[in-house]
Amino acid sequence: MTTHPVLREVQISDYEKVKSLFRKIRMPSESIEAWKSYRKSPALKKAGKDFPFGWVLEAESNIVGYLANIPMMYSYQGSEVFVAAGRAFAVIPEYRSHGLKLALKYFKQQEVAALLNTTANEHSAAVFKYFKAKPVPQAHYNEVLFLVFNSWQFLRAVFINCKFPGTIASGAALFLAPLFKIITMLKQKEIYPGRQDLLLKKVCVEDLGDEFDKLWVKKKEQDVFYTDRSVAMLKWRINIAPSLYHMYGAYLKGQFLGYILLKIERVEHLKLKRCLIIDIFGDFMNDDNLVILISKLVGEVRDLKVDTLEIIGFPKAIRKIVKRFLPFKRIIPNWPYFKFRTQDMKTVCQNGVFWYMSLMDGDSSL
Amino acid sequence: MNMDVQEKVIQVLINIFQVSPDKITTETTSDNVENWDSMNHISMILALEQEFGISYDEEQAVSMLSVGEIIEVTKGKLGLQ
Repeated sequence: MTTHPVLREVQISDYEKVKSLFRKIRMPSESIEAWKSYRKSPALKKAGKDFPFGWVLEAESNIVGYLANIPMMYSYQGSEVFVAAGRAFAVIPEYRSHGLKLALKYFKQQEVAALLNTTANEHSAAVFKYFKAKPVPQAHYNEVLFLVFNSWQFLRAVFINCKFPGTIASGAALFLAPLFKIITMLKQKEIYPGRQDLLLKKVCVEDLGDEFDKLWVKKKEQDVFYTDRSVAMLKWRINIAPSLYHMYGAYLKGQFLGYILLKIERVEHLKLKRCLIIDIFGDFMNDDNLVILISKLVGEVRDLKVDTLEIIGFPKAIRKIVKRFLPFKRIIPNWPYFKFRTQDMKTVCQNGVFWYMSLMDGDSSL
Repeated sequence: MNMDVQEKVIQVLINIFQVSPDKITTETTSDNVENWDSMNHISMILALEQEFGISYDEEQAVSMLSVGEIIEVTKGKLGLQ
């Protein structure tokens, strides 16, 4: 017999108990630094409201359920849209019938214009659908495109994922790696000619200058629902875990076109080090420029000694360019869900061109 | 009619939570049923709404965590109280 849990807003002092909850259900927990960073989001300053950073279910002095609520700022046609991103929905098994109380709190918050859940698995998707959230209408979001740089590590991860014991996974991967490497080389044999006038330069986050803000000021006027990419927001996001991010500026004859943002992620249980393309943002003039920039990026990523380079989301036009590199594909069980409060946004968001969803959105890459 | 509601509610719960009939009584709460998680709770709400042709408020739906409460709220929705 369990005690009825009490629902309340999360406090920073709950951190250790929430961490303990995640340990109990064998899910990775966030760092205290990440919690502190959420409370310093520029989105919060712009909104200027008392914002709940999530809710907990508490029973017998323990935290038995948690749902984080992260403030985000978006822009559409120059107007700012305050969004709450749901994150880390977790309830221990004995209290799972009470989990919907957390979701109800999240969906009933009145201060935000929209709710966005970018990491919905099958379980949480059912909850979001019940509260009338809808899947983002951006085709192929769950189809990951990826290049392989380290055949052995990649194959070992595949075998581990298929539940092979570690030594068998390593041995089988070692045996098949040469053949797989030949396949990847054949797939990626096309060389895109370098161009002297088109540069991809590594940028330090502390040096993000006016050119980034100017690009954002221009782009945010478009009929696209963009997550805030102002310098303040980029710095905030990257500084949550600065050592994991790599940013590259794209320049044509010295003129700033845009940037590409990468994040390195270690998948501990697969022993895989992967590099994710978090963002590709700018006015690259034409497809050829972007093809050459991505080709240069692939070269840069090789030097980072990662096992794979992966891209998730992005509109069809960008995915089409990435597909010219003949990537492998895999399907993930996640799809982003949203819910707008106002009728005008509910209408325009049905249009596929409204969205520019990538790992930059919501809490995907936090 | 009141008895019909009780029987139908219990039958829906037996089907959703995949338990034997003796496990669901008017005294049963979510704590006594192993499969009563948030996903099955949603399935239960949707099944009850379909069975009785009613719609629960979200607040009501989330807090109906005992069979007795479900029967009472459902009767209220059907105007039987």
